[in-house]
Amino acid sequence: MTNVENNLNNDVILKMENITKIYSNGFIANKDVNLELRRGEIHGLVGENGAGKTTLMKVLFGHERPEEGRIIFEGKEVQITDPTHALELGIGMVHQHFMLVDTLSVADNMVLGAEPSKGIVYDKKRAIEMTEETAAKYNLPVDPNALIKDLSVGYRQRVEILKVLLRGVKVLILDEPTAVLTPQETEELFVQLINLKKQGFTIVFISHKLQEVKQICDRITVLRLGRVTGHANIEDVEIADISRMMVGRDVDLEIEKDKPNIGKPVLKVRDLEHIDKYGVKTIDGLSFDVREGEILGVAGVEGNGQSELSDTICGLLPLQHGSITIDGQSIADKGIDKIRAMNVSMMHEDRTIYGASRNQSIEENVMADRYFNAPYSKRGILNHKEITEKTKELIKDFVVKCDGPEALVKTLSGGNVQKVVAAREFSSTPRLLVASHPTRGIDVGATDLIRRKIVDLRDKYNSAVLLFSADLNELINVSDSIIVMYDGQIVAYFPELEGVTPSVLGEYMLGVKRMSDEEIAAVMHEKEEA
Amino acid sequence: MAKKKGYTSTTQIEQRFTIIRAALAIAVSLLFCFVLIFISSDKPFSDIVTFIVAPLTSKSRFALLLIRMSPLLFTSLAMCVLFSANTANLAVEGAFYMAAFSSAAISVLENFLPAPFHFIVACLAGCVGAILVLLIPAVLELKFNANIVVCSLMLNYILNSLGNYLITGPMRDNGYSKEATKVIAQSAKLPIIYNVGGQKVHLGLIIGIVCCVIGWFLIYKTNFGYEARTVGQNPEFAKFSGINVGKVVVLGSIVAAIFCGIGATSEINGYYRRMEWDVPTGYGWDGIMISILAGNNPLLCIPGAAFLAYIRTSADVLNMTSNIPVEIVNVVQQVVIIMIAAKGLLAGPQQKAIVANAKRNAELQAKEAAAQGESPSDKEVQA
Repeated sequence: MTNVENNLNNDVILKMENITKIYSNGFIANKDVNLELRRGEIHGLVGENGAGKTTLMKVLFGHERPEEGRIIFEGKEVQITDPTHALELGIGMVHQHFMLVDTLSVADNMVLGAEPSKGIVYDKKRAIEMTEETAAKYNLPVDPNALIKDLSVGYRQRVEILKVLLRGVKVLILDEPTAVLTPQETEELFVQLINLKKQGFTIVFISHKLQEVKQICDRITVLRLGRVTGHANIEDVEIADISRMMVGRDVDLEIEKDKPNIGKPVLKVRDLEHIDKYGVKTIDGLSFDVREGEILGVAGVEGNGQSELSDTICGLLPLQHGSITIDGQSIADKGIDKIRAMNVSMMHEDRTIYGASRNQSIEENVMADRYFNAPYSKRGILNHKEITEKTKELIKDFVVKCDGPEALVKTLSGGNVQKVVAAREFSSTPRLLVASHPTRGIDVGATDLIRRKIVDLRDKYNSAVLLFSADLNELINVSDSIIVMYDGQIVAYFPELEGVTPSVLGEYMLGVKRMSDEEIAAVMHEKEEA
Repeated sequence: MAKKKGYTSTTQIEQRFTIIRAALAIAVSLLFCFVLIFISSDKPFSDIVTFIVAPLTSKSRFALLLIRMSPLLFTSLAMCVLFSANTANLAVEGAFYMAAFSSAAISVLENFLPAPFHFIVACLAGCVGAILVLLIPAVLELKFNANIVVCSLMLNYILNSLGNYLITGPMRDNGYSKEATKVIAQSAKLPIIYNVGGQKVHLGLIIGIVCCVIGWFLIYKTNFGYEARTVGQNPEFAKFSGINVGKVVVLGSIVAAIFCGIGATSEINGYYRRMEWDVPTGYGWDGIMISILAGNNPLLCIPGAAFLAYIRTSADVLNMTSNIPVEIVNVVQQVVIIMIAAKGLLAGPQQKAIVANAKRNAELQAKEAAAQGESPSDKEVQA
């Protein structure tokens, strides 16, 4: 046992000890984190969104300087000052959002930052040679002359990986590499990664998709709320164990809810079409109703028209073709203020841009949709006392962890920012709530609270809710009925969710199956009555 | 979960550092100034003393300070309004200049209206001139997505020439030896509130201070101010919340222009016999510096304007009593702008303070949690 351990310890290529990173908003992203990487392993860095995985890797890659702790690379303590330094040492990172220049060729991107030259002239021929050599060496074929903008996401990722390999790294960090890939591309990536592992590379695989982690990693380190909650060899743990380490208790986010008390349609969408600025038809003839007291879930692989649908209903995008009515009133040519005045609440999928204003206080965020109404304002003058009172009430009601109503939103954690957004949007007792990915990337506690509040809106105020989510379990649990979108169309409608599972939805989401037109048309309830 | 005992919030630390940064900027710029005086002066010590205390050494010098201060109040206030909505409309310089012409056109009319009303109508004329100027870059940006900084900067050059044309051509009083308009009618003049040693402090100072208070109220206490600040901080958020971003930008430019109009009219009708600006005054640029120093808070523009007027007066005195040129003030001004614009200034110490505070808060929390018999991490999950 000790022998084996010694052997393994000799193989340790990199150690991070007691890393603590505190951001300038006072948020503790990492606290006393230890991480040990061995030569020739795929090490899974696992945790929920916001657990501190990316921060830890940014520290390792020199993007962030830790407040405490040390990094030992190949037996020597190192101070990694910036990414260039990390690359010189042999540590490379492939970011979630690719760092490639779209208008340059593969070869140009490959050598960016270490361009070969003849005198002062960029040596393009040499760049192409280098690209071809590296591609051949690691068996990752690419076309050096192709422009990045013409390549698929999977291909771009391959370029990113090659680019890092070209710099001669020994440790390769991949930040959620599968988040942007299709299942086929993911399989291909895994083959490539295992190949690299066999060649002696150490790979850090950041993910919160436990199936993938179990499939490809040798060992894992689990983070929760910035702290390490466990290290393990992958064969010693089951997926359920990892998930417990990730969230701190058995995952049980089932919400108990009563049968819906469904009334007449509130939102009616008919023959909606949308053509985006690239001329692509992103929405292709959508018709559906959302009724009083009903939560209608929208399932679909990202990019099948959901964003355009929610943005059109909210007034961010113009209504191009078809009709959208709320309680019989058309939203055509109405601005966002007019649509909100029809008692519509909106949670945008991008909460950091549309949902909240970072540099303003919780008060100012909460009041954004009602500052002009009595009692918060009279004759154009704000009543700060009323605003503060209301904010305090909402902070309590939505359990926002903060220093008070004056606290700036940027000092809050992601989950608490979303609670502030929810506090504003839910407290206006909307007729219609359009919620896009309301729990994406936030902690379990906030997720639970927001789901409960959505169900509350349905039960207490008879609100109609249109819920977009990539989390199929959330959709099935929270919604009363579900439509599935594929390629800008509705391909399935489930009026009852008895027996509906993620895999059932999955087949429709991938376009493998499609319901009959009559089954889909059933989502237009008004028609039935007529 | 309001403020708990013993906790300091990150926001409080940031506010503290904002003040420290402004103080440091002023201190460093003055230090620069002293070094320059030291190098170039033949009697450095007495010159430095003069620079520090000059405006307080006589009543007339103090009066000069007050006279210098009043136009700065208006231009810095206008910049506060614009910057609050994050509208980098730099045409305030040109707007102030043009307002002086449009108001002078009314002010020179003899037997036009009785005393206060003549001034008020002249002010309105000034406002119209300034509004026309400030709306040009704002509308260009809204309608054609033109870069407002570039447009407004270029516009200033055009207005410079336009003003030059007006004062040498159509608005010139040909019976006067210099390039200037006709004499401002007595009924349009502002009363003098403090007259000492030939330095006449006019009512414009009081009007400026009142305007600053009104501006503060407007920015921090009204719907318009909330809208402007929200648009300034996050235009997408503002739009998604239902705020009409275009309306706010236009309204902001109009409000800023009104302050320019009142300011230019007060300055001309208070201090001058005729409108005689053949080139723009530079008060618009001064306003930018003061509003940056004041963090876009109109109330802080009052001490900000006083500070700039103070060193200007000092420099004037030095200019007369030594071989130090008035341009020394420009050094102070530029260093202040650089220091305030340098967002990274004191970032290190600020981060350290925030880190120490975060740790302290975490410990406090842990202690409280231990007292309640639960670990802090569990608490977070349940929250």
